[in-house]
Amino acid sequence: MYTHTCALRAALLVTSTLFTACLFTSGAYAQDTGTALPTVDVETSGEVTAGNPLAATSLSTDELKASNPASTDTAKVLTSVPGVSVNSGGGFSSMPTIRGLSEQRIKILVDGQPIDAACPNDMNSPLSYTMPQTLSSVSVIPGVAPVSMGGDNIGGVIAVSGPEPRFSTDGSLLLTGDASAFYRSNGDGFGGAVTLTAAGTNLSATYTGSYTQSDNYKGGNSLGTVRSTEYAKTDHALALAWQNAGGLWEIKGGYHFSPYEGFANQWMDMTSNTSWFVQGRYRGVFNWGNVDLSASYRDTDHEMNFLADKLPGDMPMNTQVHTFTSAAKFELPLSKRDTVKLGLEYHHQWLNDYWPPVAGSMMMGPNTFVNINQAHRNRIGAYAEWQAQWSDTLSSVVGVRYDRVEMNTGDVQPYGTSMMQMADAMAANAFNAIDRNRNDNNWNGSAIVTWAPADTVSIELGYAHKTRSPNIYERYTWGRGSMASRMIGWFGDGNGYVGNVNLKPERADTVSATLSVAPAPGLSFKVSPYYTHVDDYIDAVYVQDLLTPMGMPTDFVQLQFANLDAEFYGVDVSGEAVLAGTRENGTLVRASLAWVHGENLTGQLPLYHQMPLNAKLGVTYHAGALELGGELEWVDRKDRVDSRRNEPETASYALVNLSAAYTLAGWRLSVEAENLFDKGYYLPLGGVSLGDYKATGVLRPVPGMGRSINLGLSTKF
Amino acid sequence: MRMPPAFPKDRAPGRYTPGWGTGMRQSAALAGSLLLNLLLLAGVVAAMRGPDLLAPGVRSALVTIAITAQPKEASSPLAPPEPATVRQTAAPTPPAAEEHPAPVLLVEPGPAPVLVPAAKAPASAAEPQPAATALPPALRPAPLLPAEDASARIDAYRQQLWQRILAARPRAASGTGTVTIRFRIDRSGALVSAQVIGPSGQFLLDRMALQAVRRAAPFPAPPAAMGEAELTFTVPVAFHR
Repeated sequence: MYTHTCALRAALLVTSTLFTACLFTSGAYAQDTGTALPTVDVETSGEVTAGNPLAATSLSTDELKASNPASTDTAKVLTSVPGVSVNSGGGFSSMPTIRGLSEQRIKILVDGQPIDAACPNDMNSPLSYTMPQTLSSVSVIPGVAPVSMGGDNIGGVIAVSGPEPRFSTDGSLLLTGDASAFYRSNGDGFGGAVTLTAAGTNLSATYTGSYTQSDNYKGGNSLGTVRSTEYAKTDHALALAWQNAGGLWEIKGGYHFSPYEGFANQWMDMTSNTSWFVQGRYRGVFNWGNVDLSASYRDTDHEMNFLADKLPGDMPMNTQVHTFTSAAKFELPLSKRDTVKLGLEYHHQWLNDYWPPVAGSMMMGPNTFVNINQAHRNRIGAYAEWQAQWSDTLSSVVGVRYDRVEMNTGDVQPYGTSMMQMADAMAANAFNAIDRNRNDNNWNGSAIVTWAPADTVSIELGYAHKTRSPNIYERYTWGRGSMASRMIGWFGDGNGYVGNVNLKPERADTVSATLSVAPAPGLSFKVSPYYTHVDDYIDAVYVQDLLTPMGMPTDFVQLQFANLDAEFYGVDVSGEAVLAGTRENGTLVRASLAWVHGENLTGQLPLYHQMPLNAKLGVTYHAGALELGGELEWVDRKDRVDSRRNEPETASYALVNLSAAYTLAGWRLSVEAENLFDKGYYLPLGGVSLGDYKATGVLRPVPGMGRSINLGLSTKF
Repeated sequence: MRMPPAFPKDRAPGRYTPGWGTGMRQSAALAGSLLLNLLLLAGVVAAMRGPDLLAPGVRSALVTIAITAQPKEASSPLAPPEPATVRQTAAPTPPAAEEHPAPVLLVEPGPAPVLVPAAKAPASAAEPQPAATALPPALRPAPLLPAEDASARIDAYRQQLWQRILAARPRAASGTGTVTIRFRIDRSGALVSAQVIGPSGQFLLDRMALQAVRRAAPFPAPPAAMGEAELTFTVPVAFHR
């Protein structure tokens, strides 16, 4: 380490000396200001640009902050993108679904780094470590995403990041930031977030911090309180950046703590989640190309047990995960037309999952239940991508990618070997007897062509072959007892899941098209049909009905992860029209519609948790400091359900949201009525309400939130 | 009835407490140090390249300034090519030079100066991409204009310069902001220096704007009428959504 420090110092010295030398010599021309040429305008959106697929959707800082002043769940913010919906979890841990594909099928990058699942119920999803108020960019790229954006996924990429480092432009100390706070009447939720940047011309420091908490929310109309929906969490991060002629060096560290988060649709609640990370990144722009080197380390301690609504009971479950990621990415412009992107990634995940014995319990003792014993999942990936800008109206991206995934895990053990624990004891013996080392060689490819035959029309065609290896829980969970298997699964259905060490990676072939039309200024329209066929889709097969310890039937079944064939097709449509004035200062109407059909081809059954047809219609009016908005959201009934999982049907519903905001002296005050008419409805992707079930014995789908009046206050400085 | 125990005895409790596997520790250390070294290497390489001032440009400048004999413009007997307005389709902000339509200089290099057919220039320039196709680099200063057109020629030259930068402008970028670049060329059109004089406060935007100017070089040789002081230019590059 000492040598590194010395080397670093030496390098810094060399760099700074050279930089000073540059400054000195360039002083020769400092006095002549030169002939001023007109401004060169660079449109960073709306152009046909290789590597910027039309199918991708980005939300800007302003959109993020203005449209969701009281949101604590980044995934829910993404539902404004057509084709994106969420599988509900805790109050800040929803899992996004893109075009029917969710969980690890989507690569989610936070500040460019993937975050691994560290829970058998996926409670600490990657986006749970973010707050919408502290993000500055969000982009969603569905299935045909260029391979340079990430491997080991079949459903697309979601990339969110905090503010890019800002530097002073005039040599003085730059102090900038924003702060916001909100209150939500439903559940008495409140929270606040701060972003603070202090920067000189070469050095920049940014702090982001947030806190939020909420009690259980109430369903609409007469649906009552939805139990196990309370939460609290805080996130803090400090980012330092240093820029010079040689590049941009960044180091960022952060801490996340959630003391509790109820999960309405899981048997367990999160009782503690602590995570810290540190990451470094170097970016350089040179004549020969761009460089992006990064490395990160994250450590997560996750604990589950029962919160108030699920008591009495005690069942501690602990998970520890260490993650190390490093990547070297190069972007080499070969000619004015061609750019080649090359990259190498390494990702290491180490996971331990164990359930300490419960004193005095016959079922949960006398030993520690070892669910996953020091499993690792290492992935090394390499890609090459060729971007060609054939003209201002034609571009293409073609890439191939190889990922090798190596997984293994240690021996396991059940709570004990008594008669009642026999299913788990035998399963443990069988699991320990087999070879669990698995290596997958995964190939990916994607090709996208974007063409604008006229100023008002752009067309994009894409094809991708993507592969994802099973995650640690899909491959290495083994408990076959009723209780042990019901602890596994992120489906919110209450059923038990058993891992399958023989799972194969899932391979998806996707074709999609996007047609974007802007027939007149202020009027635009986008339609994206798609089709995905997945070989060896990781779903589950029926094993047995689950019985109570007394042998009585229950509402739940046991399933085992298995490879099936599946297909998805559908269409996303969105459009907007400026009715009066301009987009920023006038009246704007937006509409979107999404439809997806997911089919289990092996069983000729509907796939689990597919969002029914849904549409949104919104009007916003901006006049100077005043902003008014109204939105109508409609979701069709869900009657295509996975009968093997006892997935409940849900009725159609329509919600009305109204909002108003006024900016005065730099402060923006907003008032929002969510679900104005207090409509009672069930979430189509919410799963079953196990918190309520435990208390009332009645099994119902998880209700959506009833009326909530939200107040938001924010400022920028 | 009791099952035989799966394990002789419970494992030591410490076994499941958080800790690093040895393999993990080694590989992480290895990868970490590898990456750190890479970073250092990148830093050193980057520093050696001394980006803000272009070493190659400087050198060629020293040579070419000496050999650029004044072209025999005064002796030119031929009429100037028909003026042609260049359309800047891709640029929403019209350049100042366009206020009085400037002639485009498209004189083919060669010993026998030929008149460029007037149709040629507008045809290529009117295409949606004003980029590389619009204005092929003239390798020599246009020598065939009467002296009174000197200022028009200088305007045209600036326009040409600007077009080349526009053609080389960055494509994808994240963020918005304006970067002002100052650059200097020599008599042959080679880039002598380029630097950010008005930063946007965002590293990538600054560097991408700078790269655009570098990629656009070498430029056509400037008209001889341009004074030494006029060979320095500033250009704002505005990134917006």
